[in-house]
Amino acid sequence: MVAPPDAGDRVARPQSGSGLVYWLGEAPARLLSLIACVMLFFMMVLTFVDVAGRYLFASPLPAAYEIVAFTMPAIIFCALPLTNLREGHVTVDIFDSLVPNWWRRTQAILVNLVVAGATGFIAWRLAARSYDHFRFREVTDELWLPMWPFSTAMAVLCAIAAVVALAAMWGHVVKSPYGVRR
Amino acid sequence: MTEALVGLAVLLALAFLRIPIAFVMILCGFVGMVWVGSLQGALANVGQTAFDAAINYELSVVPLFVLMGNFVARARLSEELYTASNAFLGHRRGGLAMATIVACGGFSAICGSSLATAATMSKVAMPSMRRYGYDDALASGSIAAGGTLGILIPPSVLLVIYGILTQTSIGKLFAAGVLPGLVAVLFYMLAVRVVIWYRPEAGPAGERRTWRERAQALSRVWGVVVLFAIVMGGIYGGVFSPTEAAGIGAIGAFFFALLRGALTWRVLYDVLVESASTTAMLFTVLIGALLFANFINLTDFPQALLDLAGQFSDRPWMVILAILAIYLVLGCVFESLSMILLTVPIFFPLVIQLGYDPVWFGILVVVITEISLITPPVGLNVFVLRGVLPDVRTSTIFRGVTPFWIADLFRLALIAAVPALSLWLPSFVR
Repeated sequence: MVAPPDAGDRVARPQSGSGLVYWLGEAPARLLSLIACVMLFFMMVLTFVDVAGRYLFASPLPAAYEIVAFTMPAIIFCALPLTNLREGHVTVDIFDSLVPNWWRRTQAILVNLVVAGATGFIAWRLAARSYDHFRFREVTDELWLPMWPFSTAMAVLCAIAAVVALAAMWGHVVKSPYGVRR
Repeated sequence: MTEALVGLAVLLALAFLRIPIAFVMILCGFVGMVWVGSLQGALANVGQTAFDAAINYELSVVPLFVLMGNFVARARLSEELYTASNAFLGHRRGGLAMATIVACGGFSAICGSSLATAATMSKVAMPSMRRYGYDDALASGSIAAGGTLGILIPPSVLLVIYGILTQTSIGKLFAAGVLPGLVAVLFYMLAVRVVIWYRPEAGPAGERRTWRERAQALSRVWGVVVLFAIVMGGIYGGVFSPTEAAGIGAIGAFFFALLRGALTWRVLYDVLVESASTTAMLFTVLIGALLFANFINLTDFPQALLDLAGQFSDRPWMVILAILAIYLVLGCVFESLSMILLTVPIFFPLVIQLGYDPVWFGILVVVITEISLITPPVGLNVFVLRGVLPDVRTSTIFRGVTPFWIADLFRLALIAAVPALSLWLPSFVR
């Protein structure tokens, strides 16, 4: 499991054309990652309260199971834009030392384009899934909530992650200091 | 058969072009499904798989254990562990390296990630070994090797994922990891002894501590013991589900970090964002691997493999040997998790058909993954150490890791030959 690189030493010195990278990449990714943090902390507290309630007060949280299950996609898809931006995905990089310098930047641009495409593809399929949920009025098992708002949110967040990957790609084009692989 | 082999070849080629493995698997899986099945089916499959993988209660154990590990890494429990094991072993030749191994083992008992274990222990163990004039190769090698214990000694993120992938009890898998983990500690300590025997100057002895000092040092590791006892005791005793145990472990680790003043808002944010980002990365790989597995299962490749393995039904160990050899080769190139996710769906049915225990195979897979973490050219633990210790050369670390790597091969053989080592403890799990 690769720990994502931290963004601590990133320089906030905009260059021409990197405003786009900031507003379409860094800003949404940071904002959503904050939501992911809150959700993760919430999930930790929730499982604890559930267990404590069950063993200490003999009354478990109602539907904790389902709430935890639905917190998962919130964490994953709110953190995905940042992972895309930082290029924190698992990559086979053993040939990096053999690759000539001129090719590196082109390669980074192409790779980000593929990442954007694949993330966008998943977003599209999630949107189609959400349309099915809406059409067949599917509801969750315990709370009987309609499913489509959740799948729509997943599709939208995934689409944002695709846009962020495009911003990361543009960052390589204009050599922006934002969201660059170090 | 052809479709699957072409799919695998394209997958490898694209991965070598530096496209993230998760997305390579998503694309290859989708195109493969269109090829073998239909466009309609493939499109529906992608949406369904992505949605189901994300909304999943069982899988919430993953971010929670990742979070626990990250909190524990910041809580500076590693220092107490090292001081304690050092008090007992430090006066021997190579004793500090042995103490590193033992402390890594202890840290693994509350942290489920090998990289976090290696990164955390290096900050404590390396300065101390340098002060006593240890050889850089032995010092860094013992940390890199000791760090691999993170995924074998429970809790382990990798065992969780194996369990979910193969519908194997996570409690049993965790119990199964304990003895092989202790064997690993023992073998690594023997490896240190062998190095010292050849080159005594590599690991000079430290000073001897009194029993009083030892007792004092030992009494400070209670935090680790309590966390381990609650999390693992809860799972083994059937009191908590793995997710609940992970949640409690995470909150326990959170309070440890808080009470020790290690948590500022900044650190809290870093820990959460790191864990969330790792979770997003893991799940992208998971979705990709599921899609690719769906494609492979549409082809006749699994059946062909089963038929092939069927010819060896009187010598099933040859199949295991072949699988282990494939893992050793793949481990040179692939990151551990993607390797597991890619191969376990293919090999698991084979192993089960030959009558082997799923828990035992899980431990074998994890041990071989540990080996891949310190195998050149991509041994990830080695690169984590490189990041923390920029003044040590990669080649030095790989040289230092070699004796431990050899010890690992012996351990792998032992665990493969003696299934009871892995299967005795799980037989007590409810």
